[in-house]
Amino acid sequence: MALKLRHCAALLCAALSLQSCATTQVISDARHQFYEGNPNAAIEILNSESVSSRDELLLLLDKGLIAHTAGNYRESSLAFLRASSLLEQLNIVSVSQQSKSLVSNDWASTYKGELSELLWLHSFQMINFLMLGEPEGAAVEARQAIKLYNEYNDVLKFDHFTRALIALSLESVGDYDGAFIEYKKLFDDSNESPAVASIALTLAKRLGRENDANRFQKALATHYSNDTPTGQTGELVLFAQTGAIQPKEAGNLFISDDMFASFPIYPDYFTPNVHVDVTANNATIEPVAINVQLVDVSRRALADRGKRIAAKQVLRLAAKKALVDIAGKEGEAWGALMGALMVASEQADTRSWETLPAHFSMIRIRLPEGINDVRVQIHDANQTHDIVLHNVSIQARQRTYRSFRLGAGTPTAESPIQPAAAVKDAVVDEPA
Amino acid sequence: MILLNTRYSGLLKIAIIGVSLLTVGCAATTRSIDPNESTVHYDASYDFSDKKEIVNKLTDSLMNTTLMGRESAKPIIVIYGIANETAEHINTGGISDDIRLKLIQAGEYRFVNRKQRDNTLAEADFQYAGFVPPEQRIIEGRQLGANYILAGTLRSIEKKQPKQWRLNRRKLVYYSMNLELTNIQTGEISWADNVEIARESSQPIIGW
Repeated sequence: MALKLRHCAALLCAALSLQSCATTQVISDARHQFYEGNPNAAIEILNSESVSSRDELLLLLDKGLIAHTAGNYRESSLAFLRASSLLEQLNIVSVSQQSKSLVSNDWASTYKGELSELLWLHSFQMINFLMLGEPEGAAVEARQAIKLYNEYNDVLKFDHFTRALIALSLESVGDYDGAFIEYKKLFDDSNESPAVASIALTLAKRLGRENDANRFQKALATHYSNDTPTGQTGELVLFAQTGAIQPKEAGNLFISDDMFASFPIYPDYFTPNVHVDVTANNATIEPVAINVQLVDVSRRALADRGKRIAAKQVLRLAAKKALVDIAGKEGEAWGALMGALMVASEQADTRSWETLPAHFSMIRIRLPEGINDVRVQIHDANQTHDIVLHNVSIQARQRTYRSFRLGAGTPTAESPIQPAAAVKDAVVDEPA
Repeated sequence: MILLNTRYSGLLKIAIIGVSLLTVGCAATTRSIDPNESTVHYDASYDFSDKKEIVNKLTDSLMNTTLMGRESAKPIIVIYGIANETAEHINTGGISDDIRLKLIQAGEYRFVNRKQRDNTLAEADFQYAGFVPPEQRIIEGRQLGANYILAGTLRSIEKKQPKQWRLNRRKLVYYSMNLELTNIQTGEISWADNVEIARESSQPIIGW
């Protein structure tokens, strides 16, 4: 019996030694460089070393986001494509990993991402392809994101930004019917947001959807003045990421003196959503801004798999208790050793995509054809982020995109982002 | 020492055989396959054998069209590409390039190269900018005018098995590729055809 027990202890120690309860050092170092404002240095770190297969998804997600922030949209797109491909392969329950995590913790399992993170992979891809002037690629990503919304709408419907991005991507390839369906869903999910109504109204009129147009017009009436520029106009679309998402933390539930369960949580701190002001050519204009506070969606995504986490915790506690009991029968020392191992191994899996911003904003500004000066101020709980764009060239009936990271993770002057060319895509309808 | 060797030699042999088998099992291999014969599908998604099937069917259909009998000269076609309306990143340029290649090789149609239009204009501008002797310059205004536009759409519908207790995830994917030839002068769709491919894949939910 003692031999069996030694085997059990050895197995447990081996399981613990095979994994470490921290994100791979390479990823931590790259994140540190990213938040120091050095995206290119962060990419170099991620390219130079491999990580445990358990953290490979995190590496690819971070790499995609950091390359995007550095203005390298092609590299970002390739990293995210690899992440998508990896996710297909991870769509399987590994018996070996589940067994290991049953006597230790979930750090022993491969990180498969929260639902919200899987959605934002597509969000970044849509922006990447739009910035690269490849709207068809953006539309492919949009269709993949729609599948996620269809399957997990209760969780993801709170992300209005991505839904708006899906509609924009479909619009950019001329799929106006598809875009209109998404705008309608967004309008309903956003409690009839005037910002959404203002975008959807033009499309509703184009498609001859009079009833919907009337609904949008009604939502608009009290909020927006009809002050769109006269003459030929185009559209400037800004994608802004501000701040840094809150990381997951460990929540502990004590069952007895020597048993507790540790599980991941997103702390419920209240932070207001962002507010956007826009000045164009020295005149204040009513911005069409659609924002999302990412932690709100992440928290819901984590809660959605709460039942599975809880069920696994119960099994894990039962397995650990059984091992401690067996050890206790062999002697007090064995029992104490096993108990200590169990307590040491009980750690919440707090891995997450930590380079994500706190907020995503899509700001759509209709501007007159020609050269424009634009100033956008994004106010969050702590500060105001200023985007000043001089000499923005707008062509009639064309859309121009720009993407920015503001606040935490903004590239420093020593590590400037590559200049992102203003990319034009499909013809834009004039407001009716 | 000899005793030890005798005792452990059997175990040692088993270990060597085991390691050898494992090594052989894990060895990386590469083999060439004939793209004309292979119809291997690792999953339900679009792959090169689908491309071949689409290209062959649509090219055959286009070459057998009565359009040929109506034209006194070989029709001139400009390709406006195939829109990808699926949820996969599929390079549809490969389909239109292969269709064009087959039609050119068959000698029934002529093509203008739309992708190279900017480059041909730039080259012509260069020649007329004073760098090229007049007798070696191309003569402007001699480009071919297309009679037809060839364009199409690739669509897909994916259906997943509903969530239930099961050991495999099954997925059904349906692809539909439409191609059409539009008469530029009249706007008439002179020819159209499509290819449909439906495939089911199954992936285990539990693995080692």
